[in-house]
Amino acid sequence: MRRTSSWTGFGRVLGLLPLFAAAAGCELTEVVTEEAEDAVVAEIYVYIDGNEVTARALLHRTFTQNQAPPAAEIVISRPADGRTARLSADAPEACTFGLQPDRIVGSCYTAGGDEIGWVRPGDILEVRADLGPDGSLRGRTTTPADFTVVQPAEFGGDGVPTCRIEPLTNIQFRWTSAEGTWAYLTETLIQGLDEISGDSTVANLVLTGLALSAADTTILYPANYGVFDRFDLDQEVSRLLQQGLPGGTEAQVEILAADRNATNWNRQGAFNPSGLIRIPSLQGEGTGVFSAGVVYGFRVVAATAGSPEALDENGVEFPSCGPPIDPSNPPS
Amino acid sequence: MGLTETDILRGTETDRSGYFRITDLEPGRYYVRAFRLGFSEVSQVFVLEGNEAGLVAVELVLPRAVLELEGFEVEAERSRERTRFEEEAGATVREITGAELKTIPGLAEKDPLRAIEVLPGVVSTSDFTSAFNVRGGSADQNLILLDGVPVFNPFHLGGLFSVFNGDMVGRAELLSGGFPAQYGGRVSSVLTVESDAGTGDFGLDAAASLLSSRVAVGGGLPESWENGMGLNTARWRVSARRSYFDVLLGPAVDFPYTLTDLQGVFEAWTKGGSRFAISAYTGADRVDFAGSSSEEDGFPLKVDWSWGNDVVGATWSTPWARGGGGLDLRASFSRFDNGLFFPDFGDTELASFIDQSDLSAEVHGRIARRWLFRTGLAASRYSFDNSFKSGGTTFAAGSGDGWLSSGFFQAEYQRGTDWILELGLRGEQWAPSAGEDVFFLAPRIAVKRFLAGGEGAVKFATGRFSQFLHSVRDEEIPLGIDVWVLTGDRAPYVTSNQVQAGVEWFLADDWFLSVEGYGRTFDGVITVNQAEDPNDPLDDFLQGDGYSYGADLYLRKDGSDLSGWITVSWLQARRTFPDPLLGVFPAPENEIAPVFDRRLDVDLVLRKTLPWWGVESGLRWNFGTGLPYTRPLANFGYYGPELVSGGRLKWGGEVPEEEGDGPGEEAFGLILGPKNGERYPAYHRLDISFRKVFEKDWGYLAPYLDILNVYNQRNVLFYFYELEKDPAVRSGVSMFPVLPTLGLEIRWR
Repeated sequence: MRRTSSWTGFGRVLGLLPLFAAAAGCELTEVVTEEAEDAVVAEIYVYIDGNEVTARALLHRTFTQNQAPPAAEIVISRPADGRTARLSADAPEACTFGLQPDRIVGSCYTAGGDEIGWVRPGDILEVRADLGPDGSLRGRTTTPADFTVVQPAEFGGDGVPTCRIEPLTNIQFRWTSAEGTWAYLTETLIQGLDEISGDSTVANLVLTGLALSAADTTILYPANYGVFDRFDLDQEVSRLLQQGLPGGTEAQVEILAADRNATNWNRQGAFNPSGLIRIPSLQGEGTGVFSAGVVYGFRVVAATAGSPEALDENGVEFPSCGPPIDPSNPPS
Repeated sequence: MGLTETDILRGTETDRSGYFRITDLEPGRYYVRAFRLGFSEVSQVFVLEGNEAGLVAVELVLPRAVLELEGFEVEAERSRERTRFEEEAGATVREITGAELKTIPGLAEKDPLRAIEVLPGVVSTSDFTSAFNVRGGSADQNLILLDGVPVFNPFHLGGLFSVFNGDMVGRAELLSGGFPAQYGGRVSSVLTVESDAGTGDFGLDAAASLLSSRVAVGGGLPESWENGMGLNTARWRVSARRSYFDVLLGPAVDFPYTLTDLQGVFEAWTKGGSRFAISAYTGADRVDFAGSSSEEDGFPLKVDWSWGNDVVGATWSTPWARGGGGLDLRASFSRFDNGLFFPDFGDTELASFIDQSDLSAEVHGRIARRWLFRTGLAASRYSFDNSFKSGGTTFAAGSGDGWLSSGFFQAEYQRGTDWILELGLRGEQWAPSAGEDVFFLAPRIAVKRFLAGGEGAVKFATGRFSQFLHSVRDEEIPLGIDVWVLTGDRAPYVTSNQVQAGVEWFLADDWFLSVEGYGRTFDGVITVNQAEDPNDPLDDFLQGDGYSYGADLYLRKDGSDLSGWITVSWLQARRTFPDPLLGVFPAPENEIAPVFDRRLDVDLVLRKTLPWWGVESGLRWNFGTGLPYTRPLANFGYYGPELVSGGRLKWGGEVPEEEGDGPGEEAFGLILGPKNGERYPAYHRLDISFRKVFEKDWGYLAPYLDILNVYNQRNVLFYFYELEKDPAVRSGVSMFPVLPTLGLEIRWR
């Protein structure tokens, strides 16, 4: 699967100027410097998807000689009623697709089912990670309120809710505002583009869209997706997606109401030539993020009405995702 | 002026309208002589009777003539420094003339903003920018005026060059402190760039450098036109400049960048002695990757990016009373806009725009024998509009307008060569479209006590200053374009209390020494809130305050053979802002050394005509202690959730698919040490220039060679800490290496 998304890759546009400056200068001699500080990095996410709640905590370390996987006791609690959930050690694959680069060694903790099913949209949650000799980390967040997708208004299919979009057209996704949301992060996994473009790297293409603030509850699909990928993505594919999904492709869409902590951790902070600055939401002996969000997902197929691709396994046509929209003149 | 035709008892300089005054004369008979480049010297006798209440009006008309250039220039330089010393108490003014500009080594071309860096109290943070900081003020706190009209972003190529074409610059004056009540708008300094309108005789200048080619044409009006319009005389000059990076680099790489400038100035004097002047400038930078070949050339996106200034101003000055009084009326307009668009993606724009329209009237004259005054009213309208939209969402936006109404009164009392006292009061009413109105009173006081028979003086000045707009450009990035916002409900206005005291001394005929200490506060400065809440439209900026103190030494030598100056500037600057990067809310305050906090800055500038073939040479050596930076303490692999995979985390970088594919895209987060807690090594650089003028019947040819960083000092621009490597390493990039540039100037006359 090709993952090209990054929330804030658009900063590269602005990054061109210092790069130009750097290019015009000369490289300085590389010198060995003192080793970095050893600290634990924890990325802890709680997601509410319908009635299903999952919590994942990926712990790893800054780059030092010490790459022992951090051991932790992680407890998520709701101060309002004192309910708690203790995350259990799990296989790394439960948290991540793989630890890269090779030097990183991490540990994974998860919780699901009834263990953490009491978490509801709008909850204030706290986390404490006791790291043994590495100290501890603490964090707090407010889960965004629930929201519903109002366009597409209807879905079909027996499994994943599915709607139909006319090939090479754009539609507007709309949802209700979720209080406490700092940003709606939405992803789409488009499948079948390789057959149209002949480029195998876009067989499973993941693109990101973003709507900032609780009140920004619309996005054009698919033209507004891939906003952070425009420097990387094949330009023919990119231009094609400005028109719409080609017929025969289908896509998974997820919309996340993200809290303050996720927004701050994912957006780039101030400029530093050595790398990206993340704004943490875990305090203590280390750094990291503790975030809780509400997710809504559905499926889109690009097919002309009446065509075989527009029918579900029972021969029933998927409902339309919505009326076509001109990307150059989207509704306000 | 003297008692005989040849002696010099007193001297002065006229203002731009040609008015002058000489005070504290005993009754008697005097000769007054006047001279100016391009005109014949004229003298006249007048008698000051004891019963004339101290006022005699003398009118001198200078006929045009060709004068000896070199000797005249040197004398004029001394006169301006001396005149300011004798007639001004508070303002700290340093000047670079067009002639000096030609021998201060520059990057490809003579650039007044880069030349300003050699003046006391001025810090430049990088070779890559012409932006400058004065006495602990931010770069956006410098008011930059072209013939009196503000220029918002006077830079090309993100700051690498200024918009000011050296051929069109008559002089540049920097007021680094103590400026009187007629100046408002910025709190740190005022840089006035005056266009050179020429002599009125037809002339054509052309020049070529590695940056651009340029041409300037000037002349006067036919006598019949002048008579028909009731003019005594008129002169004009226009210039055009265009870069040719795109042409030079074309065979090797597609570099579709161009800069263009068009500048003009027109001055006319009526037979009644009034002066009318128009000055205009338009310039644009354009990066046009919109061609279909951009992807093949390695640049993945079609980009259409342009930015530039448009400036126009008109002034009418007329005498209104005996003793040099007059009325000045001014109207001006200045605009800067910047737009970045992607033709293939109509949902994306980065656009920034600000404009300012001004109307003002000033009256100046004499209240009593020893009292002069200047008073005025002005109305200015500002508007701005910034937006950064992409993918159907707005990442940042702001717009608004405001009216600034201001009035000032400035009085000067001068008692011969004993004392000068300046009292000023400026009132400003700022009415933004969003936010509360502000009324600000800004008193200004300055006093100078002459010593040693008028050869030396001690001076003191204090005042309050205000500013109702900010640039939110990150000064830590060496190249960048200003994005302006007006103050109001989203950003506070800046107030600055300032005090300075010093000594000025003419050590000999051609030596001048100034030592000045200062202290400044800055309340209401802002920085971008990196953790702003998208639901709160009013938290885009964090409010802070700051202070600076320091001392500047300036030792100048004038002379026809060797001239130059040395400056030593000592500075301590601090800013205090909430630190949102800690992730603690509300963000705790953090006092930091700003990026321009250079503790010690030394500049040596020399001009000398070499004994070989009359080659004019210039030298500049600059030393500065290290500037602050933020050192990373550690970095870590950065992961992010992938929603379409159930929220599992994935490294944000890319591992190369095959051996030899390069390092892939790395995604590391940083843990930072104290903000600006470390300092780069000291900076030093030697630049030299050589210029040879070949006189011809039709004019002259002047090839020049500038060499920057003669001994190839590796001054640090950035350190890169690659702490993910084993062992951890620090690399980086330097500023300019040794960099020779050539050029040629041609003048037809």
